[in-house]
Amino acid sequence: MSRFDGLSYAEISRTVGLSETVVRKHVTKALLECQKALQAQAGKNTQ
Amino acid sequence: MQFSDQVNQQAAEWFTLMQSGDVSASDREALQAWLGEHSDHDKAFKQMELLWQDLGDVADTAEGRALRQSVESESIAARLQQLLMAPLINLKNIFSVPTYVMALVVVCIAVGSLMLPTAKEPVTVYYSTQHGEIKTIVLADIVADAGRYFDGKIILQIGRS
Repeated sequence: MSRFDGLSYAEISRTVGLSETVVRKHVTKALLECQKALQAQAGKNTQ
Repeated sequence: MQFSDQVNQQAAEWFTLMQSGDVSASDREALQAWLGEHSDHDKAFKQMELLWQDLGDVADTAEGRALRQSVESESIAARLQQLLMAPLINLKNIFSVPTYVMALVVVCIAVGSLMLPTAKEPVTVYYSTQHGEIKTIVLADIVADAGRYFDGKIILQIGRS
């Protein structure tokens, strides 16, 4: 929602009923998971 | 280029904070100070910016739309399970206390989830430490890790709080 829809944390917060702080934490987690997935894929490609 | 988990975590937190519309002058100063602390910090932060850009590029592709559809079709229960299984974040080591024989701190959180009214059983989230380690867990972490609503109890099983 943040990246694909371009919604602000405040807008997501109102939509899903979470606080902005929690929304930001989820975006942080998602970002780190995406990074790990990309790095794992890059590792496979280099093997 | 890969950095330590801690640096990546900090970079992601700084990046998402900067993305929010609630950035104070002191936040910006603190970010600049963090970036200046080590060259890895600046590189890790730039990597987050690039990743964000890449994700935006993916959003407009067929793969991005397929990904979105797959996420939307997941059940709420599956989403909550994923959330609970996600790695714990933002646990900060303060200092070690060698006098403890074993400092294993387990926090049990029973979540009466309004988001999942069909769930009858409470959801439990565990936090633990290594021997001699102390972790700080803030309420926002528990809420983020447990799910939509924090409506339960915290039980210290072993150690001290």
